[in-house]
Amino acid sequence: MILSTCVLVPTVCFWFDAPHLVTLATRIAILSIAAISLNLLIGTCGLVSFGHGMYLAIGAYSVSILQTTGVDNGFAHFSAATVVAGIAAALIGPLALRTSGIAFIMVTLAFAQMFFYLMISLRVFGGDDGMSLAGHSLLGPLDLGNRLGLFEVSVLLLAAITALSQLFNRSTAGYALRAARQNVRRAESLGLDIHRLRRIVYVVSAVLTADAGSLFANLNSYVSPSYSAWPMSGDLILIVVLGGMGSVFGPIVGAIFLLSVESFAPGLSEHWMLPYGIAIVWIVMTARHGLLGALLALRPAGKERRQ
Amino acid sequence: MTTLIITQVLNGLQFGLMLFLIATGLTLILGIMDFVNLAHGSLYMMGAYATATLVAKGMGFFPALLGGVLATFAVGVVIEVVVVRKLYRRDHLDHVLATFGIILAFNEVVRIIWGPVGLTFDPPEQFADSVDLLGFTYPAYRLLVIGMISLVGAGLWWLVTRTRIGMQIRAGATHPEIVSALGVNIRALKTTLFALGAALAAFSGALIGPLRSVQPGMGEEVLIQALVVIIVGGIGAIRGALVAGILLGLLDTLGRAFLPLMISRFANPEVAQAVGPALASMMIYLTMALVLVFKPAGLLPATGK
Amino acid sequence: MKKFTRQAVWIAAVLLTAVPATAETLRIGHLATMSGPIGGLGQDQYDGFMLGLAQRNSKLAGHNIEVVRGDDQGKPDVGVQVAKDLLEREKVRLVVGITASNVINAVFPVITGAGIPLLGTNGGPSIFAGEKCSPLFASTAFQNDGFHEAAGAEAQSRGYKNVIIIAPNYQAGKDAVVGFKRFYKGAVADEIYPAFGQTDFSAEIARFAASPSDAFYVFLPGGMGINFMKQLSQAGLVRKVPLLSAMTVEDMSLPIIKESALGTTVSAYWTSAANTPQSQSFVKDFQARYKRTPSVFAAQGYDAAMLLEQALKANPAAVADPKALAKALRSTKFVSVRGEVTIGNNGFPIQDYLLWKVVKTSAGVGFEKDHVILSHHQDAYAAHCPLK
Repeated sequence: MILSTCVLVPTVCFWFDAPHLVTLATRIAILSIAAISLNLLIGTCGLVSFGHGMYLAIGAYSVSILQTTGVDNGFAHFSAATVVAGIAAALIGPLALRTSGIAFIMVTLAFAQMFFYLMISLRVFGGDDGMSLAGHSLLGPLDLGNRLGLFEVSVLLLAAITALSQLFNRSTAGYALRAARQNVRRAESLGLDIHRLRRIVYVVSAVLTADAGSLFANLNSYVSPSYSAWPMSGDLILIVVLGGMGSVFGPIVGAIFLLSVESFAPGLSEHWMLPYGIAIVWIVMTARHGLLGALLALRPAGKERRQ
Repeated sequence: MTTLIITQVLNGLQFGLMLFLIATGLTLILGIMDFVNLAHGSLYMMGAYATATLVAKGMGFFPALLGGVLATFAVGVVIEVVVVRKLYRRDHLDHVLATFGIILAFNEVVRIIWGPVGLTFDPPEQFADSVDLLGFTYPAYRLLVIGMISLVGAGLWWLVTRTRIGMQIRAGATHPEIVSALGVNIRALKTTLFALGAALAAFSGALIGPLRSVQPGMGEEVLIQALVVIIVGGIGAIRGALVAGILLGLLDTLGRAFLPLMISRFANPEVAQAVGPALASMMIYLTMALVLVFKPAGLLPATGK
Repeated sequence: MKKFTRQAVWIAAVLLTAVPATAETLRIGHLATMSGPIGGLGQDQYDGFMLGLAQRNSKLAGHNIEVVRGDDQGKPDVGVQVAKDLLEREKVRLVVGITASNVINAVFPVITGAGIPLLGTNGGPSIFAGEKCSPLFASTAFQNDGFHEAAGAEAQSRGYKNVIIIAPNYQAGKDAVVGFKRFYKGAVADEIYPAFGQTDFSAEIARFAASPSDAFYVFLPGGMGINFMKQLSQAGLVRKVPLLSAMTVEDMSLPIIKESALGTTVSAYWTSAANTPQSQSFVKDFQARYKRTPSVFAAQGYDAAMLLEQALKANPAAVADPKALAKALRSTKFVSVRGEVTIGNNGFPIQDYLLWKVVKTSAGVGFEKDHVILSHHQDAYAAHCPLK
């Protein structure tokens, strides 16, 4: 699977004279990272976080705030994002994980909305206007302000995270967590502390999303509190579920679909959201395992699709 | 100061009752049918638009309100038959996704039919101004809202707990096989219940119309608030929604009214101006987080679930 | 008669510029918020701009104009994506529009950083009006503070002693209060900052009712303002105390607020009731084409077409040179629907701010021009802009 993502990189070089596609592809890669991280919670643990936008925002603000103090070292940016998001998740996780189901959705939303209102009222960090980046993250000789550099880093990170989450899903812990979606006690008979595992997965998912947020800040050269508001968190869930949460690759398919539509459809009609909305309803009703599931079902000549 | 406090408490109560009304339809459908209906906000919007259109056509406020509710009831039936019915056995996330698609489509339909800017309509004439209440004035229409929501709330409680159809609904939720073996048409019952939820949403949209502008996307902000109410109250519990609605309405209103003042007692005005409003807007989320951490099932969870 | 002379001027202008030495095509990207809650604003900016072009058969000073439309959906990150698309895929040489201030913050460095001029047709935040001003930026709209400074000056000249102010709890809201206080020297009874997007204002209105103020100042743009004015009116407070507002009661919201705003006054540089001949014919043409009354956002869009035409006439060669185009845009004095306007050193217009009354008209409720509050007013941030 790392191979398949590596094939992507050279093809992009063909697009060299179509640089906007590289930007779109980078956006897809970055939000895929966030969505795959979120899918560790949704797909593996059955826990839907409606507040992952907050971690995206934490990662993004890590870059912009450090930039204003003159630190342009990318490793510092990513470390800050990792540490801050890790601490936040380690504090919020145990509280949020006292709940499950819809209550978990809403409690994670609550924390993200509070962070949103906090950032809006903090004038030093631009408040509602957000912050423009003074410069970009420098990873050694690599400047993330460079379009291709940012793309390569994003895709490599995406490949790494895809591989890791695949490995994790196939590990005992992954099996146990998936089994625990139905029955916690039976899963614990495997000798694993499910609650502790979930807390760890929550922190890991938050940290990876924050790293995606740091990349996102570099892509947009701008950071806004709205990254933490519910529409962004909702978009991430949409990417995961639409693509198919059963597989590691589902979120990538979801991101490609959602962001491509968002990028090209407004040019076709100002009322693009009507067919788009209907299409989403139709996909849910016909494709049981998301878009990826539908694509895979097409392959063996529709054997399974009949029933 | 005392009249100000009384006014603000009344404001909080009124806001809380509005939250309760919006939340009831959602909590019924979620609690009894186990269906997450994010399009509840869109039905709220449809109710407001339908009523506004009828008022603009020269209909009186109350007949238009009834017309708007009935029209949205019909829309609810259609949505249930075409989409929702096929998703009951599916995962909650599928419900979320499908109804999210419905939200996008509805917002766009509204924009195509009524334009992007929005509509408005006035309260009935005899409730257009404010009235004197023991030494302070209060908008008459807000009093009407309090009265009508109390009436509908009581009617709903009676319907669910005291009537035959209410019994069937409650029984159908827990033991569908037995109920259908007794000759009750479960399918029709579910359609009715879903449409009833739609009618409740439409009723709140129409009632709130004279207070707020009727515009595309008006359902989403309300949806989030309604979700907070039903989670704090306990899913499926009408009583819980009432208590949570009033609690959150009071906290939110009193927070906006008095927090900045209180903070300025201890902090310098600069800090108070920054912290007060921010804290006030976080109030309902803060409350929800606290409630969920200490009582994950909500304040008054529905019994028997 | 007036109409005839106007047409004559047009015909003359077309004849004079019909055969330039080299007719080129200028590709313009129109980037605005066309969908979502504030989609109506972007639509008006776009329609106003396109009306200006259509009246000239998509030819300005002899050059063909092509417009590519972009929608940022009100999201800064989508705005960046679409701006890059316009610059790189569509290869536009000028970007016009921008609706939301958080989007302008995000796309401003992207567009100007690529060496492409940005012609703003809606409000501009203070960040790019002061130290970070750019020679590639011009605006046919306003710097956010202008409205509030004018309102403050009006409150001061009326001799108010104790004003209560309400503005959303975000940067533009805080800036509004600062701008108001720059010209108003009396006491402030209370500053109220409701959450952005709030819909119910009963708690705030009770604070209004309880305060000993002698005037209200309201800055609540869009849906917030509509809801606030309706609820204030139901509380019986609208005509009890003088109410001054900015960017709250305007041509887009007034048809919804209606009688609830009667008797209040508004600080603005333009409304559809403006009585300059340019403005009257613009309103008539816009109504004929789009079947609705233009808002100030449409006027700003229309003015962008006016300014662009004047700039290209002043320097026809600028069509091929972004830097020269920006320079021409900034140095041209142009006749806008609000009268003659010049562009200041930071790219924002220097213009008159007027007081308008909300009155009953034959068609319902409308505006009536009262008097000029501040004439040739330039925002306070221009002094911090290092450009000449």
